[in-house]
Amino acid sequence: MSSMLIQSILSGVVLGCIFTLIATGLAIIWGVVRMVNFAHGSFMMLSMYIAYFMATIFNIDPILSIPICAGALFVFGVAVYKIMAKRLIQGKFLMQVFGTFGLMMALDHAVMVIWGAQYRVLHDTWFGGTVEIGGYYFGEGQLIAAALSLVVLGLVTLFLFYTKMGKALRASADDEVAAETVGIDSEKMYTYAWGIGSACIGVTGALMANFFYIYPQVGMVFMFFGFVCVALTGFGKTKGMLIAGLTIGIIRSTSGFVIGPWTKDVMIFAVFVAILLLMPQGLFKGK
Amino acid sequence: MLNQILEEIRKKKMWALFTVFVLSVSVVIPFIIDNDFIIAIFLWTFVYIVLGSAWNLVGGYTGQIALSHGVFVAVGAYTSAILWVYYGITPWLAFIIAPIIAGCIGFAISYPTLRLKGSYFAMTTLVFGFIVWKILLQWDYVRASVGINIPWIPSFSSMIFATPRGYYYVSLVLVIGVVAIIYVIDRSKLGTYLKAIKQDDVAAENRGIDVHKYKVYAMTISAALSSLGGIIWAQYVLYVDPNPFMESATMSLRIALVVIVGGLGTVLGPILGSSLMIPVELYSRTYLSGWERGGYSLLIYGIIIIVLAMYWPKGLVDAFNKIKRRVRGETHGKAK
Repeated sequence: MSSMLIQSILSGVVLGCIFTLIATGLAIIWGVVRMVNFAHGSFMMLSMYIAYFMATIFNIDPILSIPICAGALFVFGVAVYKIMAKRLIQGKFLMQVFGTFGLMMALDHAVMVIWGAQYRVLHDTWFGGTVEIGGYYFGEGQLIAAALSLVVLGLVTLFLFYTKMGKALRASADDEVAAETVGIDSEKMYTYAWGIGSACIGVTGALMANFFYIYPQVGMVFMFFGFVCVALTGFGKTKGMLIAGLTIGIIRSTSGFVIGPWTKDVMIFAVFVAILLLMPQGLFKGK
Repeated sequence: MLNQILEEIRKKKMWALFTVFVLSVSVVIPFIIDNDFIIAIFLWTFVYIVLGSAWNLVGGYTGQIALSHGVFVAVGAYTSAILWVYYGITPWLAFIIAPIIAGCIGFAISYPTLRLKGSYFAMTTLVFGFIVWKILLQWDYVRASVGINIPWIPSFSSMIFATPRGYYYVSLVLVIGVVAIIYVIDRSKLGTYLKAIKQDDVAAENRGIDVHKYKVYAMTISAALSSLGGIIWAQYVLYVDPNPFMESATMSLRIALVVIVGGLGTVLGPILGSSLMIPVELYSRTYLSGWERGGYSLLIYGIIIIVLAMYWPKGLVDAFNKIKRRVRGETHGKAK
């Protein structure tokens, strides 16, 4: 019994790493552009399809297509900003939500129209088996996804804190007007934020393609987990994101085990509402 | 009181005449057209006028983006199906019970979440719909994902009619009722408060309006009215399962869309929007149904929403007003 509980906590930790990467992409766009990307989950879905077709057509393992997915999504994110978001941020907030929400609908159903609604799974990937560590079992795909998520998170953190570009992005997120007065071009920052945020979700998509079903609406629930993490850390911040992600992952997997499988998402919703009500600033003070 | 109403009518004579004209045409349409498909299109348009008007109260007037209205429609549909199939109680009673239940749910969900602003509220309601969908798919009392079949026994007490004409009149009455309610709210103190909140909620708060209270009012009334559309849905489709209401927020989106197309925060908006969008959708769905893969209509919906959000956020009513001004030759006054 208790070993089952530990098993579910460990699975939660693995899930949590993945959620953190999803949330980080979301938070970068949210923080810098001050715009919620409701299509974030659909971006992940697109990346999963890219990884899927890379694997089935060109025989490239999803792990190897990570750079391809990240690059493709970077370009896609920039394109979405240039074509759509740039105009939306000048308009009313209501229309920003509708615009990105419309993008989510359009992407999901464009994929459905083109490739059909059936569930796809990749077989014969490099990391398709299960592995036993100290008596607990993990999917290799999940483990490698968690590990690489952490690596990418590390890289993103290094980028944000130790490069000129990253510092400029953070400055712009902190105080856009002040950043502009010291010569940081907001327009450029917005473009990069969309690109980098989308690239993060692109990496997640390639990692998820290893072990998860691929279908047009796959993104929605993951976007939701991303939002909950963002709410936990405080909107638009990235500090503490990993703790938030792990918490959400553990709550999800243990409540499914302790109470019943159907409570998994309900519990997270309850946590989400509770956080928003009790701690609208997030769990961690400061930026 | 009567004098006031007469004065109102005199001032807006054209409008009153037009309304009477549209209503009388609506009443005789089923006698003129004997194509059931066209009657069904009218019926769905009416249902969406009801849903759109209800959503407009919270999304249009108050400016709070609720993406959970599919849940309230489902409450209506499930209430009438459960009353009739499980307990043999006439679905007409659902017109009283469903709004109460939906109103309570609307209140319960909005009371905590409406303290949140903007995106957070939109996200929470979106996820709320998703969660309810997941729960309903597992809940045996409502027959989970199997859904409730309503046996086809046409009679007045079962609210099942042999032709769409019966439903047509029920929904027409509903449209008149709901639009009248919205019209009254639009002109009441509550409507003014809601519009003030949409304009600038901080300023509204400073003027002594309890912003949170009125937002919750709007959401509760909106939820209650939405459930009415669900009752007709259930009794017409004769089959209730969670997917049409909540699957990937499709219905909530469609409800919002008809209002955006028509014009947010206007009585006429949902009517114009539904009259344009619903026939287009039903026709395109019928003619594209030979296509093996679904999703076309929703792809088109998504694109329309993006384009509207980017280029035409004020909807048909705005275009209509501009034309009206031009016809009257008014040059003064800026575009609304």
